[in-house]
Amino acid sequence: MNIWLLSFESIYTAKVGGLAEVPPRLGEALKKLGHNVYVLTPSHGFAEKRGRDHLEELLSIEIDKVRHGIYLYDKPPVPHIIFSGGILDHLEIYSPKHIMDKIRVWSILVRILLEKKSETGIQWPDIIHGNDWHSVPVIIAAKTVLEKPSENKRFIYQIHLLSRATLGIDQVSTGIGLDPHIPIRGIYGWKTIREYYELSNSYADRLGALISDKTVTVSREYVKELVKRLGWDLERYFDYIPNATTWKLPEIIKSVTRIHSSLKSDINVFNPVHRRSLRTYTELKALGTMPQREPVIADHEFRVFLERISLEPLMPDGKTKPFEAEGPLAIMTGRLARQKGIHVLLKSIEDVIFNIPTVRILLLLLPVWGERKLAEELVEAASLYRENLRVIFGKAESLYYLAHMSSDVMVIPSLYEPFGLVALEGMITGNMVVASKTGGLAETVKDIHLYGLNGTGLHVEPGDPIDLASKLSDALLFMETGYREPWGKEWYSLVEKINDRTLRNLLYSNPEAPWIIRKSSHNRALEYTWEKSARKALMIYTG
Amino acid sequence: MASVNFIFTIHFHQPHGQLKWINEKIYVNSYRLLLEIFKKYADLHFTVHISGPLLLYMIDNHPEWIDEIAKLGDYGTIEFLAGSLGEAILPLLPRSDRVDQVREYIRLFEKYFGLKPRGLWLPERVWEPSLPIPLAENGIEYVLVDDSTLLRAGHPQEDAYYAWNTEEGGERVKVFFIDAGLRYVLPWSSSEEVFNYMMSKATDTGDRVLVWGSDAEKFGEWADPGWARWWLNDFLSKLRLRRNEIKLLHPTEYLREHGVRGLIYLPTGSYDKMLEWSNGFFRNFQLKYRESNNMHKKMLYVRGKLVKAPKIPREAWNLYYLAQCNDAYWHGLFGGIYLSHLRQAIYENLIKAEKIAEEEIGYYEKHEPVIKRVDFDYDGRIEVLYESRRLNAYFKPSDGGTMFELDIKRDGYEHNLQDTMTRYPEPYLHGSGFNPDWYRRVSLRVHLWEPSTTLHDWINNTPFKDNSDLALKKYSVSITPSDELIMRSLGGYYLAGSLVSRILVEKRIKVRDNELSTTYIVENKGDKPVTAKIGYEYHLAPKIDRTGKGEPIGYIVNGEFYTRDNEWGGITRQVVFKAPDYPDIKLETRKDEIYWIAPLNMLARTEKGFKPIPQGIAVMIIREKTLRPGDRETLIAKLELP
Repeated sequence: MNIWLLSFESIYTAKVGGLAEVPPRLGEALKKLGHNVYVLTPSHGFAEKRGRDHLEELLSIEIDKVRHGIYLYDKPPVPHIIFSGGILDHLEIYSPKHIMDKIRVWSILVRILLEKKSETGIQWPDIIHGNDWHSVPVIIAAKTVLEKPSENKRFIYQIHLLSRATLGIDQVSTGIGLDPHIPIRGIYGWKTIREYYELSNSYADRLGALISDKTVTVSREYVKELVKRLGWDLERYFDYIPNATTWKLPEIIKSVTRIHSSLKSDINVFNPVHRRSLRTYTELKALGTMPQREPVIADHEFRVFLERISLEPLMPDGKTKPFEAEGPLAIMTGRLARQKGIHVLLKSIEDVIFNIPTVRILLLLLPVWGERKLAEELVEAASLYRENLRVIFGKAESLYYLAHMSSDVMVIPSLYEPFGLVALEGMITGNMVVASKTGGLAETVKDIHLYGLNGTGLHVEPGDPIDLASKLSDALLFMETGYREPWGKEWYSLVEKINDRTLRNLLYSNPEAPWIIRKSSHNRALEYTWEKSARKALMIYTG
Repeated sequence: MASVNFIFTIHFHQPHGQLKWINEKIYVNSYRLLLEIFKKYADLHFTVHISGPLLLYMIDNHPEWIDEIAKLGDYGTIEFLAGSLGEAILPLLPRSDRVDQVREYIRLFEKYFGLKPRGLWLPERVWEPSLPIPLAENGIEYVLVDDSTLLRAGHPQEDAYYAWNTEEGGERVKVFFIDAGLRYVLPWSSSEEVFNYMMSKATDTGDRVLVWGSDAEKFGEWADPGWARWWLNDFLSKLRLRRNEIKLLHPTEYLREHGVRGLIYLPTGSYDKMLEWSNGFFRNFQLKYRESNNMHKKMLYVRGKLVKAPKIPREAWNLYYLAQCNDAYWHGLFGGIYLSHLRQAIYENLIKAEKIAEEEIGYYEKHEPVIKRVDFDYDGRIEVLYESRRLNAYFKPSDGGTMFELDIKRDGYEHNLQDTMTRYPEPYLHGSGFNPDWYRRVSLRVHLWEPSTTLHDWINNTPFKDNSDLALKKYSVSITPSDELIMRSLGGYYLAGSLVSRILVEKRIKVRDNELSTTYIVENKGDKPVTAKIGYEYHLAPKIDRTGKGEPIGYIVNGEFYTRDNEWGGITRQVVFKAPDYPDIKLETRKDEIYWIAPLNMLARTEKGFKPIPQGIAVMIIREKTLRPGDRETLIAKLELP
């Protein structure tokens, strides 16, 4: 099958959020199963930066008197078709000022690419698999070319994160060179673009679902959200393809020991002595010795902003001072966004500190547009709770894997989370996960209350700082017992501080429980492979 | 012939914690006088209530008075009303306390009087619809409520001249109404005028009842005792002669003869003035005065410990019940919450009860100190409580990172040293030049005063002198493994409303057995210099000797003693607070600093003008500095405690 994956970002070109990860990974897995796959994505400056290296120009088109190029980028495991030129090369991927223009030009270029099949040699796809609302106008543009009686093309629309984005009728018709009266096929049969647009109430996600053969998301739990938000008429067209992680522990360890040469190469993250020394190293050394180039903050304005608001322990260049003493470590990763429940974690932090004065919490966050206030709150919090909290904005390669390998608990306090890939990353590196019971997290993380030693963490009520503080404290205390002599005074003292009776009982019946949970987490993450996701996608593609 | 019934109810009460010399003065001026009057007119029928705290005082100090007044009960002259052991406002209490307060009063009363009262005097006549339940559970048949409460229920004034039934959840109690009109003439008008008023309510059926119920101190204490004696003799001797028109009788007599008029339901209420002072609802006092709420919530907190100790001695509960004595929880025109010795007694009892409970439940067996985050004052924000066998220190991060309670728990010295009182706006102080406090007068508050600020500006609240928001800002709070508390806040220094520079304040608090040491760090985190008088503020309440003997309260600076009504400003490194029969308390810095010391006085309006009422001693340690960007000022201040 020929499969085109439409994605507004990609790890191989430009990345901000989790979306960048999924289509290329799925594409790679589909390719391994013998399919012909392309990821179609705007350049966001990538093509300009890359020059000619591995880029083959397929087409050169003038739009709005600006020269645009369509390139084949064959270096990644799954080939990318990159749309470049003009606004498409603006560096900020989701800049509110430019996003609609980017989508418009991308849609026009995809239509031209299809129309000029003979010039490019790129075959028409059997499957067009759009990802998130930015791809909806592109799907419509593609449908106007591909939907012919002789062609049996299928359109799949995948929602990784529901959006409240709306589109104007011009943005799905005249604006991208289409007559609104052109008929397209959707769940209500053949209707004009305008008719489907009107049925969508202008919501991009609903429009995408109305005009696609199937709408998929990333978890069973999140399907319920889709039904609630997009409409009950779409219920039977919904399905899900779980995400997966590409993280492989040996590779991670190799990468970490390459960066941190003082660490032994035979590190075993399931060995208490190794893991604790890693934790000490991360907290006291690595945090304070990031390489010159780190953290990488793509957004220039955010860099300037950070310089202005920085307060110790955060430095103006985004680096941070290390902790002053070692202690139980919880990490949180993801985008700097309210959706991630960062403010909930901040509200819970005092409680956690009072339960465990030695707690260390490390946040590794990718800045995005529109969350300046939250960033300020975090910088202030890191200063006010400087004994216990560190925040790093931007990519910090030297720390990212290392933090996962050193920590005891991964905390994911998201208000909602379609899938929550970070949970798999936390689990594969042997962390207990304290996660909101929402979306994919409700499935990937197995609550210890239900699964005992086969569990991988604890679920918390999304948005509830008291519940979060209690579970996070308990999880950290629980894991910390793994570093103490079972039945010793210190061990008892930790166990008695645990509020949750189930956790206490697990320890009383088996003091090795923290290390068993680490293994259970690791094994659980291994269940989520891109190959499995690709097989599920194929089932959906073929109806 | 028209006639009316008359119930003459005299309420004897002095609060728990009253100064001994005041009790004795009132005893001589009023209580002894009234006893003589009762004996002289023993053929008449009086109704009397003696509050729990006063009853305990009289048992200890004037047992002969108790014997004689009890005898009058025996002879049928006096019908006694029950009360609550602590003269507590019952609706403010947890449900089971409402029952227990009355039960304990009756238990005490029965022991000395040999009978159980059938009616009950409601403290401050505060009525809430839930009261029939605890009253009925104690077998109380009737209560006296103010007619204003009846009028608030929409009834006509005429209904106040009868007894009524009311109920809550099927538990019933009878209600008499105290007549406001009669209260305003008796004893302030001539007996003739009082009789005329009474007769204006008389009817041919003779089934109406006029109830007078008020303080015993109106007879001999509030006005000249000689006049009171004359007035009562005049009134009661004439009343004897008019007994066919005005029938002085006991409430139970009235009920026997006339029964109740019917069923009514009453809203919350009290007497007219109380409604005015409390904006219509007694519980509002807890909102207006944070110190009132503090005492109330401390009471609830201690209760939480008492109930965990089922075998706790009754002594602990009695201390607790007396700490519910109402006087210190509110304020009208005089005294009340502004009387430090009353607040002091409340805390003293609560601390003693708390200690007994802690001992009983092994509170510190696992870990000492206990440090916890709780919403102590129920305002939705978190407070931090530091508790040990020797002291409690309570902190409020949301109110400028301050300390609002400091309980000394050493045996025999139980005292809340932080029981200082903020000076609130009071209607009677309009035009006095008094500026109410703009923040709660507690300790550990940091100010960034404008450089021209003086001691007088500070203590008298000259506006716009504190140029930062840090005094009131929310502080973060964390704790170290060695139980050191850290509070921090990032605020600003402002000029004319514009931010000049960001200022980070850190307070590191280390509590030991007899010491509370605070390291303050003030750091300029902005990019402009800031010149200010940095002020580190303490307010302390040295212990008052309620027995009235001993030396005056004051302080020693640089070797010289000053009484607490003196201001002092200068350079020193230590202030020693002196109180009679109480160990010294020291506030010191490592090196010489500028100290401002001032009396924390509230004003009371008296016939002789405004009179200061001490609420504690205020200390401000001052450093005048220019903080350049990145500069930090460190100051360590230590409180040495008994």
